[in-house]
Amino acid sequence: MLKSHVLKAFAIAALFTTALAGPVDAASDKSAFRMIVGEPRYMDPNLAADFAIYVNAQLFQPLARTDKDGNLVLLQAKSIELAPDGRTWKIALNPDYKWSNGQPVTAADWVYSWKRILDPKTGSETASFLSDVENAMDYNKGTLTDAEKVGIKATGEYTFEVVTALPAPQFRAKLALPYLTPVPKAVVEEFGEKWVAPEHMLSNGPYKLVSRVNDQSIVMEANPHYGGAKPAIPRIEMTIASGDQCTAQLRAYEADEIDFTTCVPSQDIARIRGDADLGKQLDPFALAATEWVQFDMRQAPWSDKRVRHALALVIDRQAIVTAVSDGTNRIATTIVPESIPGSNTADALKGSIEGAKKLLAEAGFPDGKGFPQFTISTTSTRERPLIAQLLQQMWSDNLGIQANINVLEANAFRAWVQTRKTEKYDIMINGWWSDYADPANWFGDLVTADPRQNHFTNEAFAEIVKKADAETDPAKRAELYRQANKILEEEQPMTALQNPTDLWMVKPDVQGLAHEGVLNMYHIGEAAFK
Amino acid sequence: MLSFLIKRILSAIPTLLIAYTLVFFIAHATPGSPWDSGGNRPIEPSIKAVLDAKYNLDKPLYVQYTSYLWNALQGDFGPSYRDRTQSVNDIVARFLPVSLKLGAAAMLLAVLLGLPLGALAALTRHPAVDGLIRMISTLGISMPTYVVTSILIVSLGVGLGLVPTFGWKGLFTASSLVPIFSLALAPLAAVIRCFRTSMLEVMNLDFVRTARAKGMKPLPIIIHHMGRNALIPAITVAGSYAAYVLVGSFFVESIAGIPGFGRYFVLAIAARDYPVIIGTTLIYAVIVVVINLLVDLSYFLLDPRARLEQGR
Amino acid sequence: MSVLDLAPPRDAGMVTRLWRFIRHNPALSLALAFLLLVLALALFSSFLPHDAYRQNVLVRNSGPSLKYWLGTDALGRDMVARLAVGARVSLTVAVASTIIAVAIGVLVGTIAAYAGGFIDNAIMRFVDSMYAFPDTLFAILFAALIKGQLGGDVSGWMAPLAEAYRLSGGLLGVLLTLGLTGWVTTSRLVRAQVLSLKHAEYVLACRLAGASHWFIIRKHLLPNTLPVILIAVTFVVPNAILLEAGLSFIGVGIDPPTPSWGTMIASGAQSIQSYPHLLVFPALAIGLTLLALNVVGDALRDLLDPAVSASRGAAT
Repeated sequence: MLKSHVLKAFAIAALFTTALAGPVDAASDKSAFRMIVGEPRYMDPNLAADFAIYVNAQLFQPLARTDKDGNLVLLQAKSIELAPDGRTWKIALNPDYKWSNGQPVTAADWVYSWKRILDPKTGSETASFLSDVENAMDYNKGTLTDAEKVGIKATGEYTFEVVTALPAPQFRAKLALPYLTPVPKAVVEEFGEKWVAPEHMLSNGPYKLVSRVNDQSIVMEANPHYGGAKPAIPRIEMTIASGDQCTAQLRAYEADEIDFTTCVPSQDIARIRGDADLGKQLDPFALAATEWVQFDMRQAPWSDKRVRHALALVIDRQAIVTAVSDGTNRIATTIVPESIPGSNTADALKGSIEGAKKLLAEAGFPDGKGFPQFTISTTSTRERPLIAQLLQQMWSDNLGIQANINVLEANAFRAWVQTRKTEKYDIMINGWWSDYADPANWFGDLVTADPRQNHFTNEAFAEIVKKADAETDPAKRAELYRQANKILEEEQPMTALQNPTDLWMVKPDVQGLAHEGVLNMYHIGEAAFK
Repeated sequence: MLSFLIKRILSAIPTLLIAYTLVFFIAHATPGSPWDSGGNRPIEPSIKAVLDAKYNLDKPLYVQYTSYLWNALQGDFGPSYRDRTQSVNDIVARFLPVSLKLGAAAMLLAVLLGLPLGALAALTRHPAVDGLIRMISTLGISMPTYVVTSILIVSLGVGLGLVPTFGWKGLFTASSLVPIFSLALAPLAAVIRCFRTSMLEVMNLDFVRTARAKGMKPLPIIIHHMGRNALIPAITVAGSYAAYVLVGSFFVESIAGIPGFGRYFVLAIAARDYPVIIGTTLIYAVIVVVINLLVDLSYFLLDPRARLEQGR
Repeated sequence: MSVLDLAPPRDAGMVTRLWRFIRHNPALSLALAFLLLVLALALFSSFLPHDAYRQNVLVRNSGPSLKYWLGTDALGRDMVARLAVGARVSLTVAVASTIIAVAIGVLVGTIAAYAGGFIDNAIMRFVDSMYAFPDTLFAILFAALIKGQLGGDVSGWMAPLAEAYRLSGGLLGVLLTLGLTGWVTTSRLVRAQVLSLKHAEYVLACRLAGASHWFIIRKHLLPNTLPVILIAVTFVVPNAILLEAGLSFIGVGIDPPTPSWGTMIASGAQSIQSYPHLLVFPALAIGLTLLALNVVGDALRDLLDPAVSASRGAAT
C-alpha cells in the first residue's frame, strides 16, 4: 500500500524533473538573425516615436536616407525636387516598390499616411516632424478641420507635392526621416487600430511581419515584393525584453543566443573592451547627441550668469566620461554637437577653477558661503544618477556648495519636467538626441521650443535663430547659427557634459551591418551571414 | 460548511471593492501620463487632450471611478493605453497563464521538496543534517529574489550554457528552469521551516507516543499520524506564498525575460496604464481571496476540530 | 539587540533566565554576536579608514585589496565604509518602518478586536483588501507616488514634509512606504490575541468593576499581546530589509549618494558579470543579518510562545 504510494510519488517526481531538464534549444540554423529588442510601444509607423522606430525600420521605409554630407540617397522616391519658390517639394515615387502583398505603393498611401500623422484623432507624437508643412499645425491642433487645406497633395498615381508654410531648407532632411513612411490606406481604413496585426499588416520595406506575441516575440521574413535589393538574411527573430535591456542583451550575446546587441551596460564596458575576442566585436558609433546639466533660468541664483559660469568651470568632464562609459563617450564642451552645422567648439566656456571661485565670490558667495542648498534632479535611467553624484562632489569640493540628489523613475521624471513649465526647480540633468542632422533640430526644436523647461530667453539669440530658419542659402544659414551658438555658450543656460556613444556588438559571422543616419539605425536587410 | 462558504464569498465583496478603490486612487494620484512614451520630445498638449477625451480621462475622477467599476463588473476591464490594440482582458488571458504555469510548478517543487526535507530535519538525530537543512531554508528567505535569479542566469546560462539566459519557450523547456527555481526558493524555505517545527511539536503529542509505544513502525506513524497533523500549518504557509508565486514575480520575470503577469504589472505602472494597473490588481486580489478560501477549506478536510469551530 | 531590549525585564530572574537561554544556545549567541558587530560597524563607521562618500574615479570597481578591504564601487568609493554606513541606513529604515508598521498593526488589531461587531468587520475587510494587494507592487506604486509628490519643489501644507523628505535623502519615502504596507499581518495577529483575551475572566471582572476601555486596553490587553508583537517584529524587520532592496532594484529606493544595503545590492546585481565583489559583499551582509535575525526570532518564539510560531513571513 505504502510502497505503491512512494513509487507513484517517485514516478511523478522523475517525470517532472526529466520534463524540466528537456533539451536546451539548439542555436537555430543561420538563416535567422536573432536579437533582443524592447517592446515597441506602437507597431504603427505613424505612431512610433520611441525606440520602436528601430524595429519598424525593418518593415517600413521612408522616401530616402541622408548620407554623411547631408545629401539625400533615394529609396522609395524616384526623385525629390524643390520648386523655385523654395516651398514646394515635388516627389515622384519609384513604382518598383510594392506592399508585401504585391500591391503598388501609391501617392495616395503616402498622402493618407502623412495626413493621418497630423490628424488630431491619431494623437501621434511624430506630428511635429511635419510642422513646416502649410497649415499642418493648425490642423493638428484642431483649429483647422479641413484636411484638404494641409499642404500635402497627390498629383498623380505616383507623384505628390508637399508645400511648406515658409521656405524651409531643413525640410530636406526631414523627408528622409524614418518616422515619415507610408501606410497601406485600404488596410488601415478596413481594420482600424488592428491593422498592425500580423495577419493584416502590409509593409513596404525589406521585411514583412510574420508573427508578433506581445512582450514576447516578433518574427519577420523577407518581403518578396520589396523593390530594393533582396535581403540576404531571410528571417529575423526578435525576443522582447523589458526593463534593463542592455544587461539582457549582453548576457544572451555572450551565451551566443543572439547575433547583435545595440548597447553594452556601463559596468561591463571595461571588461568587454579588455576581452581579446569580445573587444573586437565592439562597434562604437558617435551619436549627434548631448547630455547636460541645466539651470532654472527664472530663478536666483541661477539667473546670475557668474553663478552658471562658476558651476560650469569646475566640472571635470573626463571623470564623468570615464566613470559612466569607461571613456567611450566623448567630452562635450558645447551643447550643439560638432557634427551639426552651426556648432563651434571654439565657443566653449574657458577658465580655471580659481576663476570659478572668483566668479562665485563676485556673485556674492565667497567660498560658497550663503549659497542656498540646492537639488539636482535626474531620471533613474541610464547612468544619470552616477553623473549627479559626480557633479555633487565636484561642486562641493571646488566651490563649497552643497547639493541633494532627487532621482525619479523615468515616467515620473518626464511628468516632473513638464510641470517645471510653471514650477520652480534648481538643476536637472537632461539630454537631446538629434532626430535629423540640421541645426533647426537644436537651436529651434530644443532651445527655442524649450521642451526641457530651461526658460532661456535672449532677444538677440531669438532674432538670429528666426532669421536663420528662413535663410535658404546654406552658407549664410550656417553662419547665422554660428552666431547663435556663440550667444548660447556665453550665456550657458545649459552646461554640456558628454556626447554619448552607442556601443553595438556584432557576431563575427555577420557582415554589412552598418550604422545609418544620425539616429544610428540598423538595417538587417543589408547585412549577411558569412 | 455551505453557510461558511457563502459567508466567505460575501465578505470578499467589500474586500475587492476596497482594493479597487485603493488602487484606483493611488494609480491616478501617481504623477505621469499614460500618453508619454518616452520619446525625445514631450507630447503636445493638444494631442494629450484628444487622447484624454478618447479614453474618458477628461471626465471627473468619480465618473471614471464608477464607469470603470460598472464595466469591470460586466467583465470588461477596459483597453490598454500602452498598447492600444489590446484590451486588459486580452492581456490577462495572455500573461496570466504563463505566470500560473510557472507558479504552479514552483509551488509543486516547494512542497514536494519542502515536506520531506522538513520531516527529515525534524526526525534526524544528526545535528549536522538538521543544521544544513535549516541553513538552506533560512538562506532561501534571506536573499532578494533578483539576486538569486541573476546569479542562476549568469552561472548556469552565461557561464555553463546549460539554460538559456533569456526568454520563454514553454513550461517543459530549459527556459523555465531558472524562473521555477527562483520562484520556489522562498516558499520552499518557508515550508521546510514550518513543517519541521510542527513535526517537532506533533512528535510529543500523546497519540504519537502511544502509537510508538504500541510498536508501530516509524514510517507509518509519520505518514498516518504525524504528517497529517503537522500539515495544517505548512499548508497555511504554502497558501500565503501561493498567491505571490502564482501571479508571478516581477523580478524573476523581468530578469529571465518571462512574458508573465508580474512583469506586465510593473511595466503598466511605469507606463501609467491605468486600466491595466487596476485590472491586474483586481485579478490578483481575486486570486488571493480564492487561495485563502482554499486554504481554509483544506482545514476542513484535514482537521475535524476546525469543522466544529467553524460550525458554531 | 534592539528586539530584545524591547522586552521589559519585569524582575531580575528574567534577565538571568534570558542569559542562561542564550548561553545554552550556540546558534543564538553567534547570531547575537554578529548583529552586535553590524551594529558596532553602523555606529562607528566614521572610524573606518575611508569615507563612504569620497569618490575616486581612478580606482573605481577595484577588487578587494589591502587598501580597500572589500574593493571599491563604480565611483571608486570604499565598500567597507559604504557597507557600514549602509548598515546604519538600512537598519534605521528597517527599525523605523517596523515601528510604524507595528504601531499601526497593534492599533488596528486592538481596536478591531475590542470594538467587535460592525467596526471589527469593516476594519477586517480593509485588512483583507490590503492583504489581497500584491505587497511589492503596492510598495512600488506607493513609492512612486511619494517620490513624485514630495520630490519636487512643493509649496503649501506639504512643504514641511517635502523638506523633511529632501533632507532625509529620499529615506522618508522608503520608510513610509514600508511602514504603511507592512502592518497587515501584525494587525491580524494582534486581533486574534486580543480576541482571545477579551473574554478572559479577569478582563470581564475589570469591566464589571467599572474600569474604562482605555484602562483595560492599556493595562491588560496590550501587555499580554507583547509576545505576539515581538514575534511580528521578527518577520517585519527582515521583510522591510528585503523590500527596501526590491524598491532599489526598481529605481524607487533611497536617493544617492546615501548608501543602503538595498541600493548596493541592486547595483551589485547589475555588475555581477564584471565586478562580482559589488554583489557578493552586500548580499553576504544582507543574508547573514537576516539569518541572524531569523535565529533570534526563532529563539524568541521558542521562549515566548511556541503556538504562534507558524506565522507567515512572506517576501517576494
